[in-house]
Amino acid sequence: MALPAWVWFLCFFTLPVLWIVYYSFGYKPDIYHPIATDKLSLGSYHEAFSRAFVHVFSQTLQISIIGTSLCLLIAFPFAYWLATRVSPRWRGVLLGLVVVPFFVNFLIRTVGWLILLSPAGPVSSLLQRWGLRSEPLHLLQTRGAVQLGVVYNYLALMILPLFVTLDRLDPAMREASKDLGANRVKTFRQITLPLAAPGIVAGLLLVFIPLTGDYITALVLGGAKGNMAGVVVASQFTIAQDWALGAAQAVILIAMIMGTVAVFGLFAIAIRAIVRVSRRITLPPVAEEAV
Amino acid sequence: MRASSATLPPDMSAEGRAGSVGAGDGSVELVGVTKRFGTVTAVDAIDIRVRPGEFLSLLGPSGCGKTTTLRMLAGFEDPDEGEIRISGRAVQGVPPHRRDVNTVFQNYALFPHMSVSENVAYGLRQMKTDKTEIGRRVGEALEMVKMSRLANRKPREMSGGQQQRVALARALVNRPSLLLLDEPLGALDRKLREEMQIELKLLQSQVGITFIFVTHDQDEALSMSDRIAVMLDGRVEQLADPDTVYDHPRSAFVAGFIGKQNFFEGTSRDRGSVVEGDGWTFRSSLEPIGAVDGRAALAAVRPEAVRVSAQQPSDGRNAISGDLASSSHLGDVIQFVVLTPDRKEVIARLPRPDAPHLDVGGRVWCSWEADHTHVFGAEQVEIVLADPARDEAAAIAG
Repeated sequence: MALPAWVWFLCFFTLPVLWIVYYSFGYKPDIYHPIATDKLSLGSYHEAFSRAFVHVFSQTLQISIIGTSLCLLIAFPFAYWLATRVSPRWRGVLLGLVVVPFFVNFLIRTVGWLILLSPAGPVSSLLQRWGLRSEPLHLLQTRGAVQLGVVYNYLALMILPLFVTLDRLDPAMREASKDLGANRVKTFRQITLPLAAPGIVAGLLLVFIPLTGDYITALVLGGAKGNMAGVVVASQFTIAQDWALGAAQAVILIAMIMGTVAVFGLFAIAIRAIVRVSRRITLPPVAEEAV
Repeated sequence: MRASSATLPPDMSAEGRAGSVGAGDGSVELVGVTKRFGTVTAVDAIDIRVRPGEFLSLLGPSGCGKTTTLRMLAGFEDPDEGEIRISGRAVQGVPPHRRDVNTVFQNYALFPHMSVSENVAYGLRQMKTDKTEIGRRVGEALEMVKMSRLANRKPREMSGGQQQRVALARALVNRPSLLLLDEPLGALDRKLREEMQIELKLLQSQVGITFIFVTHDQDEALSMSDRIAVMLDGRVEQLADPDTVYDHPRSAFVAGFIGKQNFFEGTSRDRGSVVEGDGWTFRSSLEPIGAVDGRAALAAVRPEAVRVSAQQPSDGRNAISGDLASSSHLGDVIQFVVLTPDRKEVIARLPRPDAPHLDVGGRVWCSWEADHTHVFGAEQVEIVLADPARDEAAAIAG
């Protein structure tokens, strides 16, 4: 039964990725052809690691780490409140509101921010009317706009898995913890947080991975200052027609995502190991009981 | 004051959680305690006094307020009116984590990410207990519930009965003044439940901690409790020892809820000493409760007080005749169901050696003594007639 899924994965995921890796060792022969693979070399990688591109990559990583962290910081209190304090009827309504933006196309949603953030838009004019600014506010084409845009575009992907795990968490767990003498902070740290960990991990992955590769948000809101790797890769394929360089950059982007996930994963595993060791109880030896 | 404390190992006595409210002898007083949820009054001005070291059951159908009462004692709910004192100290506004009270939850609520010993150690660790001391006391607590061998298991790797024992150890290891148990045996199968009833009672007499046990299972309450508070609609109908509750119910509801009862609806005469119905007249030598002559009344008799015979009894006992609808084995007793001419079922239970051999379908007589006949007044009739629905609701609520 799992065979169709494997075939699907092989044809539409593994093979294309391997194709890209293969292209990344090629070169651009002349202005009329985007790719040639008769001679394989690391030339594209050499080019991809030039100073300008490295700057874009590090900026991408910063935007995605800050963006993912902001999503977690905003989503966790909301999901916790939704799962534990809100009545089931309102819970459905609020969850619906979280999902509503998804009914609108990703690009349209992002373009919406163009209007909001433009120098003549509502944010700028309100600030001016209240006397907080004397001249129109230029938010577009900045890194801040991209940062705001990605948090907006990916927040729901953090809220949903967090809500599911927190909603499934038996309220009796928190009550048992308090009953045993832990206050709210200790209960949160020792019970709620570890039991919500799978949801947190799912949310972080769901947000971090597509966010790092995102190029629409950066393209619409970022301009030159808010450039992200996704925009650069796309432009190599579409505008510059240098597929070898684009493929090499894409491979570096994938490696960067996997590397970051691995580093944070190892970090999380280390923390968990420390917590487990500190929690361990050594029982005094007991005489073998006859049961 | 605990009669049983002489048998205790020295350090398992209830010495109380240091610095928490309610540490002490473990007496509990609820004075005029009321709790409302919106327009529903869940607990209605109840007064209960629990003695130190007592095993008290709160018994009643679902929705009777027993769980709400327990949650107010634990600190998860605050009463709207009245006062709760634990070990003589008022606990209003004291959060659960600062009360010298521990709870065994209905579905145990063991922490799934911790091993058995880590679960049991949880309470001690919150109190910043020394690590070797934690190890020693967790070891003792696990030994007490015979779970030492499974100390490193995770909750999901254990059966319901084993989880139950761990939950008990996790609560008792803190040596609270008061232990609350919220239907802790509800999820176990019948045989295991009966075993655990005996063990729980034994354990309680060992540790000498006050136990307040919530259940809707009357057998459980009868077999374990020093006293039972029978609750209905947020009020305490009767608070007495099991014998008194069983033999001298103070209301028709208590009579019907505890054990099986045959009820006959008729009219009260002679200051409640006689109830007259359609074709029958029953005498009672017991104190009638709430009966007014000339008005509706209930005569009640327990199945084990009813004798079944083929001949009409001649010795002046209360008697009614009918067709024998069935006779069935209930283990050590035989249960007869007799249908009277007005389609009323009368149930009789006799120990097997005493049970007569009667043909199903034949005409028989049910008879019983006047001193086994309880009489309840008219206002109780309604409660009893609504009783089957209550039983059902309680069974669903589990």
